[in-house]
Amino acid sequence: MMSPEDQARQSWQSSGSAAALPPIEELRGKADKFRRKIRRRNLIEYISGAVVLLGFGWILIFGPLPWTPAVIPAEIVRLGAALVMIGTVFALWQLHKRTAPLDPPADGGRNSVLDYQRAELVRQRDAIDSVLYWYILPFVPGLSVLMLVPLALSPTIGELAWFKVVLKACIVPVSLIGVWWLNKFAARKLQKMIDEIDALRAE
Amino acid sequence: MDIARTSQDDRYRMAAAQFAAAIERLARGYEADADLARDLVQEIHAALWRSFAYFEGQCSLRSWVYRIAHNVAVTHIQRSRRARKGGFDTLDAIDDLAAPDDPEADAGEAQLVARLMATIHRLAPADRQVMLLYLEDLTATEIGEVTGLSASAVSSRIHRLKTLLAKPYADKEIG
Repeated sequence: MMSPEDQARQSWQSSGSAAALPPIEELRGKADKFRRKIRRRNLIEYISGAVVLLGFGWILIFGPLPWTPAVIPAEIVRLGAALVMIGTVFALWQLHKRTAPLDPPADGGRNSVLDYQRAELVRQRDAIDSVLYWYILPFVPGLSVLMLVPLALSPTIGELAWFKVVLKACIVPVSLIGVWWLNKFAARKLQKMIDEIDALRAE
Repeated sequence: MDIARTSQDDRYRMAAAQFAAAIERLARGYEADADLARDLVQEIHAALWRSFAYFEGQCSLRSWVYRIAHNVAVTHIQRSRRARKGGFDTLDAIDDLAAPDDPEADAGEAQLVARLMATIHRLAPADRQVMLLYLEDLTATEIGEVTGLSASAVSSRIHRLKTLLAKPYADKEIG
């Protein structure tokens, strides 16, 4: 007599029916679609970078925009623009390098499910855990020059209440700290998922 | 003719013909929604075809196919963000096979399959993978190769699964 597990397996394996296999041309088309998706993602990154570089490149070449207060030296504005451009190029390069996901067909067969999932989570955690170094700090020199120097040189600074000065000086750093904190929070959530996988692997 | 590509096509055709039904069952085990399960089957086949550009006998063909299929399915579920957070059970927490998702499922073999499927849908990912692979007749070693669980972790789950599968017979629910 068949054991319950053999009966369950037999019933399971005789259930459902495989639909006709998709034609190879259709699978090739799907692979091309995947490549197009990656190319589109890269293109969006490059276009956003190009817009920032064009804007600040304009300032670098032609000088401050018409509404920039005359008291701020053009060289300072140009320096700030150049620093933002350097920061943008660095951040884009890092974004491209750190955020490409693992590809199931290329990496999924070589790794067990737990190893594959762990590798993908570690990649995501490392990318967002280090966001301070590759996405925030590169913009700090340029933004400092463009935000703080005009504030320091403003002829009306002496007339402003102290809290208004602090508010103006802190708005950008506080925003950047907020971005950093949110990413740290997300990295901790990913770490918890990695710990769960490690616990399963240690069983 | 591109020999590398022909070989990739041939290897895919051979594997797909052998595992097509198992891939379809696996997709239904991950996706309760029939339309989304069909999409997942297509996604797995596309990944499988591409994967044969990288297959050099690193493991058995069976392990390779199931690794690709489960990795694609897990990624698919995570991407769609519809995985129930904290709503899964482990095999240890289940005392009996679940009632069928469709309460009007036929009696006998079809009802057993419906109960197996409903149980699979309740399980946490690692336990779900073990159950799906066990039902497809993979050995404990192969299940370990595909899932990444240790031999003892796989064998304790299989032991639990056998008890669970025997329960309806012990309770005379299935003759």
